[in-house]
Amino acid sequence: MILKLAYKNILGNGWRSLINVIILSIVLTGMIWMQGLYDGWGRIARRQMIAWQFGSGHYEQVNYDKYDSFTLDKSNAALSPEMEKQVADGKAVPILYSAGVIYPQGRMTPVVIKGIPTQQSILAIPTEYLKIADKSAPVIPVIIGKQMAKSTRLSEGDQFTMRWKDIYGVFNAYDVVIAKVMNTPVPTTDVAQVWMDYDKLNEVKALNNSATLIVLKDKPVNSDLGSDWRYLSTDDSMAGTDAMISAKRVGGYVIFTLLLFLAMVAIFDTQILSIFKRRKEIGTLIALGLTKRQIIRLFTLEGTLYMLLGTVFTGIFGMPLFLYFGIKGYSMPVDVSSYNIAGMSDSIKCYYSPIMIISTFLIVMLVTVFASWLPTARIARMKATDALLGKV
Amino acid sequence: MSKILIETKHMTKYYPTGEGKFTALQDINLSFEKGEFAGLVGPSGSGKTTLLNIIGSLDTQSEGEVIVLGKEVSTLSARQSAALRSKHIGFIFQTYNLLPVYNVYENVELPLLLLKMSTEERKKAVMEALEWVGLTDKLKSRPNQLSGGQGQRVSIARAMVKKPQIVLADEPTANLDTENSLHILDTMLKINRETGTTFVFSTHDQKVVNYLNRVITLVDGKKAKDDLKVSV
Amino acid sequence: MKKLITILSLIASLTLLNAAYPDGNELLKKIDDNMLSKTMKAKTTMVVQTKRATRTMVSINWAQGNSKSFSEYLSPAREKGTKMLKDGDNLWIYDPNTDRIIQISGNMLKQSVMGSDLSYEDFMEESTMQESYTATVSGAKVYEKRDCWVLNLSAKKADVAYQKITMYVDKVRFIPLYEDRYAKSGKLLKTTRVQEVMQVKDRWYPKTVLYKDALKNSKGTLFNVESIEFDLSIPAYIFSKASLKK
Repeated sequence: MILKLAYKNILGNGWRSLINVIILSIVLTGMIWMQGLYDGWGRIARRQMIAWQFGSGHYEQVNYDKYDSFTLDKSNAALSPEMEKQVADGKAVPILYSAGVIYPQGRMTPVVIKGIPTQQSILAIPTEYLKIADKSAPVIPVIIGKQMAKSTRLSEGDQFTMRWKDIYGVFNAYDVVIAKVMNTPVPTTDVAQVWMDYDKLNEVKALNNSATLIVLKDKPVNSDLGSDWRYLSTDDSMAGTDAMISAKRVGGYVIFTLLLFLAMVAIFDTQILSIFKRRKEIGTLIALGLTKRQIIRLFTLEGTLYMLLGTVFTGIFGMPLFLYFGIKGYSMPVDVSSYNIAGMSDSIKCYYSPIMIISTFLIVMLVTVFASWLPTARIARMKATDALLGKV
Repeated sequence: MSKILIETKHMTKYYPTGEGKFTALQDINLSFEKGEFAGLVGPSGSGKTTLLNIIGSLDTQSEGEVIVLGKEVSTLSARQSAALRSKHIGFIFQTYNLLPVYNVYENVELPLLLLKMSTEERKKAVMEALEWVGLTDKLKSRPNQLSGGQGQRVSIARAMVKKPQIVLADEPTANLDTENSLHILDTMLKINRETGTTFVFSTHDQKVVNYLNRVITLVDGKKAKDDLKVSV
Repeated sequence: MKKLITILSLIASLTLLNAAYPDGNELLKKIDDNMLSKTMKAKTTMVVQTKRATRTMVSINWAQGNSKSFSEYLSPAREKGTKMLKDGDNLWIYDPNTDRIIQISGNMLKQSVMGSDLSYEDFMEESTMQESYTATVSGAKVYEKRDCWVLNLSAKKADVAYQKITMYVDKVRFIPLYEDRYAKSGKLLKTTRVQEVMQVKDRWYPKTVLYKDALKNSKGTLFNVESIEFDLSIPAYIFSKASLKK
């Protein structure tokens, strides 16, 4: 009975109710969409980083610190015979890092040189282009990413000089040619990176079969590889990217917290006005035998009904949007894609997990109930006789 | 002697004001029996509505006793007094106080919903009440589509639908023209006679007074006269 | 028989030639003696020529041996007050605009110093020529109207940054007037050209030097010594981090 009365009342409120419902459904749609976007982004970033950079887990030479490029030339260790076998079996791929400088058109640009075996199939990097046909040829083939090509204004076939120091600190330099500009979606395999043959890099670094990273095809059963190596699972590798995405997500939350606040204010305001306008009705309901508690419940329910109608609206009007972004995906605006986070280059397919949808719904619901209930304190303070006279 | 439904003993009501208090009712001793068609008369401010509200347990006295259907109303909890009103007391207001979002049928049905009656029982009772007031053809109308007289008749039906023992009517004719006033008075009197429901009015309308079989005159919160009349 | 004579005469002529050339390592020692001093204070200007503009930076520099140095920039206005301290392997820079001291490490060492053709790591070289290289004289040459020996340097150890250097050394003043530094692969990396020399008391010293990163597309960086003093006493606090913020 109370539900029916509440429903009739909010229909009776007309456009004011409609605005509340629309605001709520915008908040709901927006929150679900945004979270779906970030969840989708996280998933695609993970997929891409597995495919392009980290495989199903990887080892890092213990000296390596990705935040300190000074460690680059100190972090390498020779592969153990067992690991060499795994590499030969196609279960692991070693990658050697080196600090370096390139001089495209005489402009000096610091880079990280990465040596990767040409016949690997674990990572998506098109390493077949790195094959050195003629060992005595003075020019080494290299691969760079699209962003790198753009920032250095280089394209396939371009030659330039690359300089580095070997492990003894001796300067060495060769001319290199861009054999391939690859379209990698993972910025950490692209920006300021030059890929070349693993054996050649070992040779010019005065090393022998040494690596900085060993990327694995499958999760290892036993991840201990001795004191030279530190194991990082996919989750470990993703931590930084996940954190960056979370940071962006927080930015989005701020907007929707504001919108939610707006919705709350709208409902709060509607409730205040409604209680004021209907004080005589409140008195009548008391006279008819309703307790104040029942009347408070009635008014709170009315506010909460906005939420339920908002949900219905979201279902009807949001669904095509959700489906579109879930199936077609969303391309990040250009200015955003300059952030160095994986997953940005592809269109991101939103991912809506039931937990996310339910928790979003519950949060908005809770806020709505609260905003609806808060003004009803006036009802509790009201005297029936005054209410009947239209006094508050 | 008939059964006494309402009884007040040395009942006083005052409101605190800036300094001291304002006495609305003073030392009221009254009793109403089943089947009475009684009215509180007097100029505005004489305490008629206050007395009606206290009897209806919408308000409580400051001193003395008020016993309605055997219960001292000032000792009832919010839930108990709500139950008393929903089961036994019907209210009729000067401004009808119909719920604007409900149609005629729903407005009349509302008190029954609180009594948790079955749909069938409710329908029967609502139709019966609307028959008394002659509005069975306006079931689907909204309050704002009704004339003043029709509105008040709906409110009478709403008060009567649960077959209360007491109906309290506060200036029921104040907003109506003579024809409509007489019409609803006829209706109420008919109900009073057929069902034995006790009616207590507050009014200063002579047309109403003419219908009453007992007129209690209040002046400045005190009972001035209590006249029994032969019914019209 | 004829063949033998030819070989013999070739050996003879080589020995003869060798006898005419001084010992390369002796020459290196003389260069070190001339260029190095216990302490040094100099006012220098550094002219960086880029495609668009020419920037001139004036600085005062103190040095103690090869391991400690301290520089303060006097102009241009933008760089005024910038200070740089090198102590062994560490390099700090004080930026007056932000009132911050930053330590230069890692890839930052590869960056150029104030847009010049010198990177910070070029300042970090500590060993003397004698310590790092063995040298042979391969000929004589007139360079910039001075008689020079052509000196070929090759690194003694595997950890010397430039494994090969070619230089023309003034036969009398023992200043390398011309220097080419090579990568292990044989690629030319850095060139140094002395344009003017000066005499300070009893030693000769380069006054104007053009440095160039051979891989870089630039006109090079011109160093000019305005005034220089050798073997003076420099208080120890100059080479402390505290003096950066002064």
